[in-house]
Amino acid sequence: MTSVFGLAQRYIHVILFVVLEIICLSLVVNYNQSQNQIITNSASQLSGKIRSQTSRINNLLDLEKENETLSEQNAALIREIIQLSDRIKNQDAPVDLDFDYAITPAKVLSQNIHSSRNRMIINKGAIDSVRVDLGVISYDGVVGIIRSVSKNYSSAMSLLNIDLKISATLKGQDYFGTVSWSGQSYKALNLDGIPNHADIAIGDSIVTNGYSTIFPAGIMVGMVKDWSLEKSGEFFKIELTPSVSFSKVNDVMIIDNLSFDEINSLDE
Amino acid sequence: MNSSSILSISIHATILMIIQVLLLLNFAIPFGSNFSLTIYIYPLIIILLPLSTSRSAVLVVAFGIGLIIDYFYQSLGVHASALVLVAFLRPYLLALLEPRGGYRADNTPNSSNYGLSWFLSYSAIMLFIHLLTYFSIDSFSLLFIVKIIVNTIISFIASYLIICLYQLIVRL
Repeated sequence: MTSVFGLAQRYIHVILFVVLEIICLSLVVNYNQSQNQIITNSASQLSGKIRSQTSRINNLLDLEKENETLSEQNAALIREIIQLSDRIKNQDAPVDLDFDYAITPAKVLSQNIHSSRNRMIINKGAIDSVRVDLGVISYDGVVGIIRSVSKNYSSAMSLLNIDLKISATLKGQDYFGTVSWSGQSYKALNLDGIPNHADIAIGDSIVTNGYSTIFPAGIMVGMVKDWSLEKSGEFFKIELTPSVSFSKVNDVMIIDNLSFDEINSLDE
Repeated sequence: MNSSSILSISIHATILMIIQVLLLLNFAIPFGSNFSLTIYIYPLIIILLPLSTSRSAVLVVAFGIGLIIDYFYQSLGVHASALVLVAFLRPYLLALLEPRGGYRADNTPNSSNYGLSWFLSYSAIMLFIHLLTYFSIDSFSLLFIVKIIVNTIISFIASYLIICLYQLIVRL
């Protein structure tokens, strides 16, 4: 018996090591997949607070205020554009298909482009009615999707996150595919699933297709940089340059499809 | 280990973590569009823990510090798992590098106790293992082997310089 205890005592650090590593790795895996985690909520709350203090030092007070009103005006204009373009697209439809979007201007407090699961912290949270799964766009195009929300801050997965996939299409065509990031270069995204009979040329715009409830149709994602056929020959393998330069993105808008809950309730 | 040395180690660890989270968190130099140089100084906390610290205590400290760093890097578990591995390997590495005179219990494995060249190789191996593990777990796939290796090497060089500089300035 004593030898069993002696053995356990001798190897207690090995057991502890294995247990701690299992905890760590399960955190890595779970954190990057699940969407509502208590830990992140509190994490983004505190780290967001610290970051907002440090980034405040960089902003002159007057400029900050001026910027805020400008971004609010911009958000209102973009909302109008989306509604108008929805209306133009649906003018032949027999029923009224208009969605209503709420657009909240926000600032990126910190972002990263150097990991394979990049996230950014945004200075709007539950208090500004930001929810999980809302889209984040900038004036240049799609930025990411909100993944966790605390009271005053939220954390978004950027397009530069290997776990994020969004549905997109070639502008002006009906085919749709999936945009994802390979984790390699922050200047290249992939678009898969466009059938080989689509018209494609270098420089073509890739936009969201509006099939998901997260982004409205027609928001820029990127431009075709290079393309080839997949092994099977049925689909294109398209490489695109993201339209947003993620290292510089600062002003963003959080886009809320007000019909979101209603549409999603159909799935249940 | 007495309470005053625990206090001074805690203060030292806090300073290193504050430097990491406030100064180095958003610091990154891109190399081309695929690679980037980042600096990690917090492994020095584990590197410099006194030799008498029990193996289990080193593991628990590493786990805690890793989670705090992850909390700010928004990468739950990644830094922690790399740091726990380094903490686990530390006693084996120390045994491997044992100087001719042996170790004196209750002192710090630093350059003033065991010489500069001893410290340089000890801290280099610890830091390199840490960064290689960190970047591997961050990518979680061998597909990115080139990215992992290049990022590890450039970040290692920069972090190592900073750590050595820090050791010269703050003699602990």
